[in-house]
Amino acid sequence: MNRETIKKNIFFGLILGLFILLPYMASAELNTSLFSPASGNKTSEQEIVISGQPAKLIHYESNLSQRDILDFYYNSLTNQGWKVTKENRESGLIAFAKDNDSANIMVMNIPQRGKNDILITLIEDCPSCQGQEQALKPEEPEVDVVGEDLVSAPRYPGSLRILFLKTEIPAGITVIYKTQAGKEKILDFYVQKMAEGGWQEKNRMSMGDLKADPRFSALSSQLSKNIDADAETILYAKGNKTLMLSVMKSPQGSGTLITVKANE
Amino acid sequence: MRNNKGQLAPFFIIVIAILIMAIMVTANIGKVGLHRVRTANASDSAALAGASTMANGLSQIMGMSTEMFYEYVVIQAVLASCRLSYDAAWTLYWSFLAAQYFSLKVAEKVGGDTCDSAEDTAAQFAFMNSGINENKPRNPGESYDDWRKRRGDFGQWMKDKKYKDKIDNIHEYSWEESEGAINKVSVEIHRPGGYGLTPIIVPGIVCGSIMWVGCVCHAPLPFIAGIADCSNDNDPITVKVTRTEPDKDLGLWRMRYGSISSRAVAAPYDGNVRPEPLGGREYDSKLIETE
Repeated sequence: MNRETIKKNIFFGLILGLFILLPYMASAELNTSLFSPASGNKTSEQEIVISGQPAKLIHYESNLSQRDILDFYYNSLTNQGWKVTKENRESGLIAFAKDNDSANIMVMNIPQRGKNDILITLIEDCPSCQGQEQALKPEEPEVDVVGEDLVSAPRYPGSLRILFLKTEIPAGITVIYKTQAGKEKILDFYVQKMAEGGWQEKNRMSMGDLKADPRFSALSSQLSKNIDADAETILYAKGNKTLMLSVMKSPQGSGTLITVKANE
Repeated sequence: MRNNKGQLAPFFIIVIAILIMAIMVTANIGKVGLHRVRTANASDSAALAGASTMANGLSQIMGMSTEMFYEYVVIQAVLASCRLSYDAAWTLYWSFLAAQYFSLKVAEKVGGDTCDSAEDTAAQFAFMNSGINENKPRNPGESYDDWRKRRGDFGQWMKDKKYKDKIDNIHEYSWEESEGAINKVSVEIHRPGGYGLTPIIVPGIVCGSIMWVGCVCHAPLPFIAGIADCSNDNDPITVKVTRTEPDKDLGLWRMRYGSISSRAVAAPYDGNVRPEPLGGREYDSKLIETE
């Protein structure tokens, strides 16, 4: 065989291989049309990343009642072999799993809207899901979760990254760290570092501010169980960029949690 | 034969005097009319420009409200997904509330700044359109100092943004055309001080995983999903422009220039600060009253 014939054989071999693999590649993609409600319109769809796990967030609006929507998903998905892993109908939530995929259906009712919003979070090829509720829980991370630190804000020394969240609408990155250091030390660190980076403090709020605002007094009384009274948030600005830093005690009692959120 | 020569002279003298008086009166009345048109134009354009600034600010608040809604949508989806540890879920929830609270505060500040800016814009339009900067060429034989005095320093005054200065809602510019002859344009503006915004608070759910326990959900918990209402978004801006000329007899039944005033009222309308998916709409502006 001459060189030309070998080249031709390799080319046709690759094409043939592609045709053989194509159906498998297509089947790996979750059919999102399954999640289209019986009556409603899609308002947005975006890719989000939760600690290295890509997820699809689809937003529909529907004139159907919350109950009818949940019934529709319950019936149509269980008929397709999906198993219910969590059901909290009062809050409009049902979670499903099938093979390595998981789907979260959340129906929200905003009185001013006159319609119901359906939020569907799809996580495909989730190796840890396995169709079991126990497997759905993310372990308390002992090492940094997959993701990256923000370019704009330094990481508190010795802290552990426990969440990396990237969203498209609105575009932003949120990173949460956990440390055993106290709140005051952390705030001192960030106040100094952010000033060095040219960031200007624009606003600051604490639970006390929420309580003092009559529009939020009812809201703040419902939070006191899991959010400590000293939780504090600072808003920074640099040019047209903004960055938000929150520091609060862990609701589980041990350690301090640091949230850094930026529109990077 | 009697001499009839010159009999018509007194008649012509009277006619010419009447004609001269008529021309003077017409010119002066014309000037009064011109000032009336100018003050009307000034007040109308100022009120409309102010209302337009307010409408833009309110539309900006609607945009912020829409962003708050999408922030709520994504965070609620993530917090309901059981993909977060308990710690991460609660701190994400707190930072979400703080971010929405800040957005509301920023929207309120935008509202306050918009109203301040509406007053500045209205004052600027009122002075620019009230005829102060009319062309005043140097008269033959007039000294440079006299001409400068007559022409005034209006251009520089505007450049220095002195139109923003006010005492009791009244902005004023005055100039001396000749010795003791003071001209004045005063602009009285009344507008809202800011906007009262009501947040949309809806029930939601926070789910987080606890080691050996699994996914634990808390509901109903309050979520801030945007801005529901602006209490005074249709409040108007009122502009009254008064042109005061030096006291001068116009030669007609003791008629004097004195002051000429015009008043106009305009307001933002047809908008809504709610998030766009909840019926939010951009604002327009219109004149609702002129005098």
